[in-house]
Amino acid sequence: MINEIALHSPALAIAIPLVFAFLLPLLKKWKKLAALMALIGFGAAETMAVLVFKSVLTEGIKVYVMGASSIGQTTPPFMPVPVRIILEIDAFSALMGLAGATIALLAAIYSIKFIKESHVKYYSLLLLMLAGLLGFVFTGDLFNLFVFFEVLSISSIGLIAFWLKRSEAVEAGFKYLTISAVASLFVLFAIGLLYGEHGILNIATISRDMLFYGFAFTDIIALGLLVCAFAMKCGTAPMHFWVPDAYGEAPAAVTAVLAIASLSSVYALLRIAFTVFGPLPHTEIIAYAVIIMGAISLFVGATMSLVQKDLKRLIAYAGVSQTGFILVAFGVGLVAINNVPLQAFGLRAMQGGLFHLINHAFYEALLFLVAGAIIYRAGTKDLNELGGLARQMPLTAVFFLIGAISIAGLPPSNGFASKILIYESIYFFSPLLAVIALISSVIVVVPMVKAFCSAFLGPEIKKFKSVKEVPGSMILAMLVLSIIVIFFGLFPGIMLESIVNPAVNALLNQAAYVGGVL
Amino acid sequence: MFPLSLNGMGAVEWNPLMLVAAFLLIAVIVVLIRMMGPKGAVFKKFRVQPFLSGNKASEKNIVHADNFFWGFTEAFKKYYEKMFNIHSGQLNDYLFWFVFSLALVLIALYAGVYLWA
Amino acid sequence: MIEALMQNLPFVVSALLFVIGLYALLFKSNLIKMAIGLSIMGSAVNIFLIALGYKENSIAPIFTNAPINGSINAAKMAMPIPQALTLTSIVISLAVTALMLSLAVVVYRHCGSLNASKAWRLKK
Repeated sequence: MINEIALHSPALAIAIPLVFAFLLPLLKKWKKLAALMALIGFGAAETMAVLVFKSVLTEGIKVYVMGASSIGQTTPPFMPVPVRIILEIDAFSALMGLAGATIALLAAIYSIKFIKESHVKYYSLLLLMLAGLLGFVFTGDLFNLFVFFEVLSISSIGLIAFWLKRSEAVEAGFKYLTISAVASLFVLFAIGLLYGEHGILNIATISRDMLFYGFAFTDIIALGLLVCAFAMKCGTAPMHFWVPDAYGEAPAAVTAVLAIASLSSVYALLRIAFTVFGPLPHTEIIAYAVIIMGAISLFVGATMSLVQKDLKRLIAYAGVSQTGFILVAFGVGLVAINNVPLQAFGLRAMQGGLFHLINHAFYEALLFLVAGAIIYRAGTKDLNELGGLARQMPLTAVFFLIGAISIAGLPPSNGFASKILIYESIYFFSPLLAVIALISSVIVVVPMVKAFCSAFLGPEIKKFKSVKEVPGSMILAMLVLSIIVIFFGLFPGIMLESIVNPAVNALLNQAAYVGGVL
Repeated sequence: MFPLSLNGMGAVEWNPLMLVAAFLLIAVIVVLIRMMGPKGAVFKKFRVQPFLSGNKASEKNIVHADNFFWGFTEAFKKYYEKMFNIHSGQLNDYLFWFVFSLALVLIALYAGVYLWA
Repeated sequence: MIEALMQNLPFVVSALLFVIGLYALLFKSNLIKMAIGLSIMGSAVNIFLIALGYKENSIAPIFTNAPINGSINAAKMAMPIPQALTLTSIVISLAVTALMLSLAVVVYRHCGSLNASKAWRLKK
């Protein structure tokens, strides 16, 4: 039984949240039962993600073929090409899936008390979002990539505009909807171009085609379209404008999942750049484009974060700056991997980038959940009105401090561990880039100090005298996230060896990804 | 094992546990020094009153979030004005920047692949 | 020149539609017009996909119609995958358009205007 489940875990990881999402509306009359069912769904999806991750780490790339007589039968009989729906999971995608499922589970636990009305609608959309996220990172097929991309973004629009009574929330939803619809149309257009050139939608087969026959003109255009569309969806400057709007107005627990959803767009970008197109000399131009976009977002995100007065917008802008870190690191990796004297630094940069990606997912989620706790009790996220909350909410203040230290990259935290890898490796690529990264990282400390001082420190304010600590379920979610963040910070060596290195190697090993299917 | 240096400057290792231990040690010393003061100053009056430039801070007498780091934002006023103009909140502008960067990337790709090579 | 244009007419049409949709998104501030622009763009991509799978004098790719393997007719089926893609993409663009219009309705209820420059409050 357990072996069977482990065998089918990739399909189950996507199917379970999907089935639960559509089952929940049936339980509309029994609200508590519906919430319990939703939590069971999230727990099951998390278990499946853990199973997938474990088996990928021990056995290597996992291929799952839907609708074949056996799971590993990638090509139908009498046909040399894989045309079926194939899930292909390497260490990187398994890691993204695990992080996504964990954050979604914690967000669901957090939402038990945080969301006061229409639980059923909320949880179905959140489950749908998780299904989209897992499918997006697990798929080995370009068209399914597009479909899950749409599932992910449409369900997250429902959640961003969840509080329809707030006009800002509707506005943010409309903006995010337009942005993501345009991005996914460009993605579909690029997929059409790739299909017209190669006659197949399987990532591995397209990748092999390009290795053998080189690029065609349409491939180059498709590369540009895909990279730009995914860069917009992961919130890179100068296309980051939707990030503070959407992150600022969505319910806090949703924002935490939305952050990892944006990071899954980084995953797609890297999958396209490294696996589909491969580290050939031509992709170097894309690498430079990614580095430039990353450097701009580093600086713009940090400086814009400094002048915000809305707590969630402030965190969102700081997050834009951290996405810049990740992109700069991977861009340098993509340039250096072809360049033999720089290869060691490229590898180090990619390790740093991937470690930072995982760290970023967790501390960003933690910070947004803390912001949600403040909104839940104090009723506002305007930093001008807040003050002195550390007296009433000491635990929340500690959680915020942990998240803030991480995002600012101060020494004992996980943010420092990943940023130091990035600094030292990009210094050898270009000292100027390292300087920009360092300055932006210093600037990010400033908004965090500002947010902590004006929300938690200072004299007691009359309005907030009756404020209490948040309920236990919300504390639990924040506690687990901060334990994860602290653990990553205190044992970066273990994390590097056991999680990050396999993922980086999987990303670099194009041949293994192709060999998994063909 | 979390290596810190790349260029053979010796195998420096980043060990956060040491840093945390040092931090705790310093914290203990600080508490000990404070214990030398008046009795009960550490644990009973631990939540000290907030002060602002020597005056007791109250609800009316605090620095609002807008005024934090006023010097910095004042010095970079021109930069921030430009940035606020760009962050106009208009959806058309958001999409314009997307199309703009897409065009730049495509031109760079075309030039890099077909003109220089 | 004209012959090449006529041969690639579906692609030209789809490119034109794409640009028209993009124009509406970039320069119109009315929310309904933006939704229209987006759905025009979606149709442009659909036409592009269908045109990819077209073969002259081909038959519909339905299993029961399938010519016997190895006969001359085998090459006469249109490619089924672009059509499957287009079906999915039509459904998705329907959902996006419906969601966008319903959000526009809610925006109108809040702000009393469909003009984006009046309706939008989030900036900086």
